[in-house]
Amino acid sequence: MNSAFQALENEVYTTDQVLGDAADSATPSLAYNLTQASTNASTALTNSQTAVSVANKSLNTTLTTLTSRVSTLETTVGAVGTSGSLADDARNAKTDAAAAKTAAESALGVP
Amino acid sequence: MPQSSLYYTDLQLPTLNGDGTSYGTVLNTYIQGLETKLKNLSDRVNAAGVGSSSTLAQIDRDLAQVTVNTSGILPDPYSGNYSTVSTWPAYNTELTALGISPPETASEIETFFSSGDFTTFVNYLNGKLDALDIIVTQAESDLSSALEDTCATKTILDARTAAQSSGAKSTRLVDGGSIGNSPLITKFTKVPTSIGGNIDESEHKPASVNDYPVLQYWIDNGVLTTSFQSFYGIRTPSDITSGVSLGNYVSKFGGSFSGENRASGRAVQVKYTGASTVDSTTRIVLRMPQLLNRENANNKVVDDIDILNWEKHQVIYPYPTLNCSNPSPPYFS
Repeated sequence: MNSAFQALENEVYTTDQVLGDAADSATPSLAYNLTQASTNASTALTNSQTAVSVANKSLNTTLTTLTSRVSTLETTVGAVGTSGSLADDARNAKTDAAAAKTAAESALGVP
Repeated sequence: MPQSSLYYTDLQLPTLNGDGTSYGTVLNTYIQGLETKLKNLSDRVNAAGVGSSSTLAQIDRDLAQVTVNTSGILPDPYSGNYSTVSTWPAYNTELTALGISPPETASEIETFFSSGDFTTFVNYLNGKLDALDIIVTQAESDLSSALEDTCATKTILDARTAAQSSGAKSTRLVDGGSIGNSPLITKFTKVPTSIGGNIDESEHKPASVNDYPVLQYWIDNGVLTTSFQSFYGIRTPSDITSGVSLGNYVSKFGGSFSGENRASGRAVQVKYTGASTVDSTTRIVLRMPQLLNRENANNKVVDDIDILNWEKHQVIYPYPTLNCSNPSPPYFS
């Protein structure tokens, strides 16, 4: 019986040693690993919450900025007949260049 | 008769006041069984949580890696200074009508992507971009045409300059471009007001629009530029000096003239004045030396000019070969 209890005690002791000290980073012990895991999990949770917040804001600002940029581009490109727009400037450039060519041809004496 | 243990039911404990001489054997068997289970438990805990290769250690490393991975977004680039918005800064009316608003929370973002809102949003912007693409494509085409015409203009002007440098000569043209003297005879009526008070000059204009000389036709066709060289003169021009633009003398002559109103050594200048607000058309102004025309007692020009034999002179330069399919601007910088 004593031998059996000793063996049992030994196993309980072994299990106790397995749990170990929370400061034992050399082994590292189960208690140490659990503590580190808890700390890292807490940090990861905080960071992930921040990441989600950043992602929310990022997507929100990306989508809204995108619409603004498209709107600005639409204004810049404009349309023929809208003074100052790219399309109108291009059309005017075409018309002016054609007129300049005609004038140059006239300078050659082409009636 | 042994009984099942409370927690490990596969283990048996001896029954008090029972089992007789087998009591100790049963108890020993129980303890050894419990010992085995403890050993197994110890082994499993070891594998799960002890040492750098344990499952828990791996979890710990994974969690640490999560921190490393998320550290790139820290600190928060918005630093709390940015607030999400719930309305679109542009196209809000249209997008709202489509049932789309800017997502602000993780839940809304999830819904935005899972409900089809994102596809609707993309389709809307694609429509905008498609419309812009058409406009930009047309603008590119317009600019391409402009560049080609600008290249052509540069080529033409260069050719003209080169021709001028090589001493290109004028030819005489009548209306329609044929070379020769114009048969047009135009009556110019004197305008009472003299030009600038110069007694040597007076202003005359044709009696009617139909009497306008060939020059009128040409100018009305918009070919008059500062570098345009088409000249009209009385009789044979011998002193064509410059190009024509509004207000310039179209032609200037010297030398001798024959006929009734002749004046050796006197110049006759024809000035183009452009559109007149009086008769709503262009007209030719003649500046006549006093001796060439009849005078009154004060040496003022008084009479009409009856006969003017106009001829049109024009310098024609060779039309250059245009190589402008691939323009390389700038051309006039």
